[in-house]
Amino acid sequence: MSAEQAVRPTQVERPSGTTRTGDSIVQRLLSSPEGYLFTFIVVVWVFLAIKSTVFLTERNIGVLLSQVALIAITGFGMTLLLIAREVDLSVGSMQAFVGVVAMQAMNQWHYLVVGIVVAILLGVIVGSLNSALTLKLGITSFIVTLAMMQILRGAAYTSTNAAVQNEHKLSSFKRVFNGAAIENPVRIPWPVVIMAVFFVIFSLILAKTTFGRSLYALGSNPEAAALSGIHVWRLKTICFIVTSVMAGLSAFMLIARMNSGQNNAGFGFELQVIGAVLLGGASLAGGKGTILGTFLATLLLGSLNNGITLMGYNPNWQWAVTGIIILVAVFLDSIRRRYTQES
Amino acid sequence: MTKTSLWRGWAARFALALVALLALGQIAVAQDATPSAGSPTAAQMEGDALVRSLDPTAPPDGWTIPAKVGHVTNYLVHEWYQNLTKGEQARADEWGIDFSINDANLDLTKSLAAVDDYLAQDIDVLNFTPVNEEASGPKITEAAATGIPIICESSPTDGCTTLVSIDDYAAGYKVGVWAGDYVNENLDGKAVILDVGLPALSTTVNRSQGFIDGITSVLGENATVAQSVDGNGLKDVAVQVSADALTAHPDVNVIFGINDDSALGGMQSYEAAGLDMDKLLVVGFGCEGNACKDALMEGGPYKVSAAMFPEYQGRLLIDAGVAAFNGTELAPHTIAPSTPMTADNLADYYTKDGDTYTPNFDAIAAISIEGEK
Amino acid sequence: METATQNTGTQAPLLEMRAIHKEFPGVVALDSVDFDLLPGEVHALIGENGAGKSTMIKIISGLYHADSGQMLVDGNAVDFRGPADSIARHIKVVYQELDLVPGLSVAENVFLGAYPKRSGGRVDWNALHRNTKQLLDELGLDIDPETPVGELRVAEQQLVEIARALSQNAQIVVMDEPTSALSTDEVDRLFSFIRRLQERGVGIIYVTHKLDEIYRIADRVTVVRDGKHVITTDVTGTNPHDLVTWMVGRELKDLFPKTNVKRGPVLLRATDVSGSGIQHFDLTVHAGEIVGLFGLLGAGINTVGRVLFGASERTAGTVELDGQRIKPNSPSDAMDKGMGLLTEDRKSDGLVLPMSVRDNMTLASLRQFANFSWLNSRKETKEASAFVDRLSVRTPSLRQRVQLLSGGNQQKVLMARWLMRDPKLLILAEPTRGIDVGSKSEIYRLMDEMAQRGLGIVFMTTEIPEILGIADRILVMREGRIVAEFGRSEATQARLVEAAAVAQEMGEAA
Repeated sequence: MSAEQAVRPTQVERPSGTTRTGDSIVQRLLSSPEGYLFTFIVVVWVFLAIKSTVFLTERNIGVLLSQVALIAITGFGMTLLLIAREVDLSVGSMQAFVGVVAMQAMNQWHYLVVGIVVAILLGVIVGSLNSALTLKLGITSFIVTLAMMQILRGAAYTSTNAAVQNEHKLSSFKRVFNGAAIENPVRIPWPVVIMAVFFVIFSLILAKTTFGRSLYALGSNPEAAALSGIHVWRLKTICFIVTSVMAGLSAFMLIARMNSGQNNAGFGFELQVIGAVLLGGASLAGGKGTILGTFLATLLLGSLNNGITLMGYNPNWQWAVTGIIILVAVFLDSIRRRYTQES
Repeated sequence: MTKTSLWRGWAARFALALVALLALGQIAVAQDATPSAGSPTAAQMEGDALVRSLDPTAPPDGWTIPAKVGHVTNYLVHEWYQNLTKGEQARADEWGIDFSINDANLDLTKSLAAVDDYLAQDIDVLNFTPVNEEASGPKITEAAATGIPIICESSPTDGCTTLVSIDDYAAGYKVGVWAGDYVNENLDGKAVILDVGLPALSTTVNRSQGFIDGITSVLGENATVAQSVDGNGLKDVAVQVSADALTAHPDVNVIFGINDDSALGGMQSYEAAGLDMDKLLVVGFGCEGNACKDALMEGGPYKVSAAMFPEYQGRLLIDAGVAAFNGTELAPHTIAPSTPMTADNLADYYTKDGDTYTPNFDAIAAISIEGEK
Repeated sequence: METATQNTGTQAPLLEMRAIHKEFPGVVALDSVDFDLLPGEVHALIGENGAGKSTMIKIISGLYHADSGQMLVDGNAVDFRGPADSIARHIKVVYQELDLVPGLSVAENVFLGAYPKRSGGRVDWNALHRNTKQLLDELGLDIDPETPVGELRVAEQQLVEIARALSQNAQIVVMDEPTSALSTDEVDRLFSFIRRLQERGVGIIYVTHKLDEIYRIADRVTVVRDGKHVITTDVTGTNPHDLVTWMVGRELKDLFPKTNVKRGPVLLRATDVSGSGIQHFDLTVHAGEIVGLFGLLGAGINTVGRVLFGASERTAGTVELDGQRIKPNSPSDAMDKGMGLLTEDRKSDGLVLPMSVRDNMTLASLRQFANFSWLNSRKETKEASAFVDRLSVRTPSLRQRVQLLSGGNQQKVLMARWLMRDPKLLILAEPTRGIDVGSKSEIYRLMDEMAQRGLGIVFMTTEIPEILGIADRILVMREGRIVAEFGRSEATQARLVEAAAVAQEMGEAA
């Protein structure tokens, strides 16, 4: 067997095609979700850069990435969860619930760190509940977190019938987390910096640690993983908690961006997140997905939304375009699988 | 769960989220008033005037006060309804009426069932906020056939005795004129407008249109709309779309929002973009909650909001019911007052005590509604 | 030998393949292969995994298209563009993975897509059931046509699948390892069934790994190796040794390289163990000993491994390994104390198919490659590479997805997974199921080698030759209990079958 096959083993049993084909750049780009997402992004960016003079400005890229950050950060957690064959629909309601509680806590105690601790703590609690209900009672996470979504939304409404305003006026609050303000030394908005840090951490965890390896094994074949001594229960619990904590951090950045805790925030957020993670190459059947894929998918969808508004198109296109992109991606993926005989 | 059924689940969730978003947009803007055709008759105008002048301590001779009034609301958790029903309750107490609320929580079936429940309880007057005005028509027409007055709120529905709501276009126009004057005095007479709207609903489209027409009536060609975006009536969405729009149009100096969250969201994005807050005018709509009132008092760019006085509308709802119960003929649309509220005149309409704002009904009642429909 | 009809050699072949050539990128799957099938003959097609059997079948079934060469059906050149073309030529392929619809009845499945209709297009259910019944009777199958297929046992489903072939008036039937899931009894039934097909003049291509079956049923045999045609010959006049030699291309001195290992101290002691599917089970295994568990399907041999390992529920009894008690229902405890389990179903609970060879090998011992859970991938590669050499795993690279390896090599990957942990006791459930004879021999060699190193091995099988060939001690099970025990020297095929058959009769009585 040649060295080339060693590198691209999936090509060995291509069922059709009689001649050996070389690796053109196009083929490489289309051989993975990350590849075609990247291609998509390049196409979209080039189009937008030609059509709009502001698209490639520092300010707009900052705005775009800040918006991407909120979805991507929760998306990184959700990627782990989907790899483990579970899902969390409550991340949208978390935006509202954590938002109002964290803002109230900061109003009460006047410390930024109180808000962050509250956001993380609520994430741990909600994640633990999700995992306990899913794993102990054997109800699918889809149902459990659907219920949790309603419960948290209800809790957000019950705790306040109006938006919780920023009464603490902490300067650090806005400066550190607020969307596009380019104030820090590297001239990159803090949410983007935070996203980048999590990107690196999560990528390394998935690619380089026993946790990541075990997670992929668990998602692909839970039985085999359990029989290889992997603690399925422990791993899934960690994933649930991480997802909720990341959702909590997203919520914290969202209230900084809105400068208030809104009990009606985050409607449809879970669909944006899960849609992006799936678009990034994960599967509801588990075992697949990468942090890079999730990031690229989020960036692609964010670029489209940004572009549609920038160009002054009818904002209703955002729904349709997002749907079309997901369909195209699924279509490309099915072609890719046919050619690589992936199950 | 299989892949297929999960996907079906997604589809269902997606549809649900869409419905919820639309519904929320509907309540977030809280009001719907399609002006009714034709001008009111003399008797109707007389009745209208009577409603506005009622005094529970001195009811007209021979009137009987309805014993039970019930309100079927569509979304009680929203601040608008919190304050509206507060006003209803207070007024009902003054009349000595037994007032109750049944909330549908955006569920049409629940809403219609609640109407039946009230009818079964022999209610004297029904106040009604539709979840969906079209779908509620037959049920309300049926309820009206029993002879009880039905006072609608928010959206006109077939069978209603009258609709109590503001004139969205006129309210927008008035606040637009105010904004035009402000721009002339403080912003060199040129307005570049970001309209954070909600194009899916006719009421909110009327608000935006009223505002643009109003400001244009003052500034003429010096008022231009840079962009209209869809903020869904939600602050998180408004922040996002405004941020995008403001990078394309950093010269925007007037932000109009179809409700408080839309206006505050737009303002937030403007500030985050590092633009000069001293050169900005923010115009809101509704001002039902503390967020808006505090923002007005703060002296920042949020200078004015088309106040809708939910507490007073609650009072009007009760009074219209009392009048109709006693056979007073009412116009199809009982106009609720609205006025551009600013830091300067806020104290006329609300008295602040700690964290609560108490409405001053006499001042609100005195707001002119002339020419509105 | 029970060969039914001898072919005359003068008949025109039903199917002919001439110089068929098929390449996949980088691999020549078939290199100028010839093949022919006569009416009324059973033609065995054998070869190691990857030799080209599957590709041949797929070309016959129209799934693949040959790059060059000619195929003739009834003397006419054909050019199949898809399975429909093949079916139209009365060719039926019965795959290992059945494509029946579990929710539909037997009758509906048999006539799927070709229901007898009344006027007006309504299905004539009476005719459907009558026709099915007739067909099943003809085949000696006592199955109610209205039973949902999902309620049948796998063996019965397989027969239904073949009945479907008949309903489609198939002239050429290809069977891909049809007996891999069948009990002895059911195999007998299948064979009598095949003979009836022969009498009708149907030609059968019979793909198998089980050499004894060839001598029971086949008229001719074709051996392929590395995509090349090796030989086609009458079965009469060959012996298993020849067949194996042709298949692997070298002399196999001994299929079962069993050496006598001196029994060490007691390693595993399971006392009065009960749990899911097994009752009051006692088992002792010494270091260096290979203990075979034999039983028919459903006798519970495979659950023994799962219960001992903790993967299935243990409700009573104790399990001690090297003097240490093992907690019930905790695979990780069993692993920590030195036990390893290779389950009988590689794909469903052994391999992580989309993962690489290396990652599958190291999965159970990740901790030894990690510093504070940070994986040292160079160390992993080094260790995996050593095992690839030691077990002669045939793979283009360590990064090859394990899914794409042959069954034998997949099994070796799983053995490597456990050997990497340096276990004291290994439980191997049907380690040679569905793998080719060359790999089987290598697995036996490995087992022997491990025993020499002092490992204790428990292995379960339904195949008598291998248990006689490799086990030091044989336990026969029925209904979750041990019913007989034989030393290596006392065990014979007849004794094992007798013990198991008693079990089955008792099972049926109960």
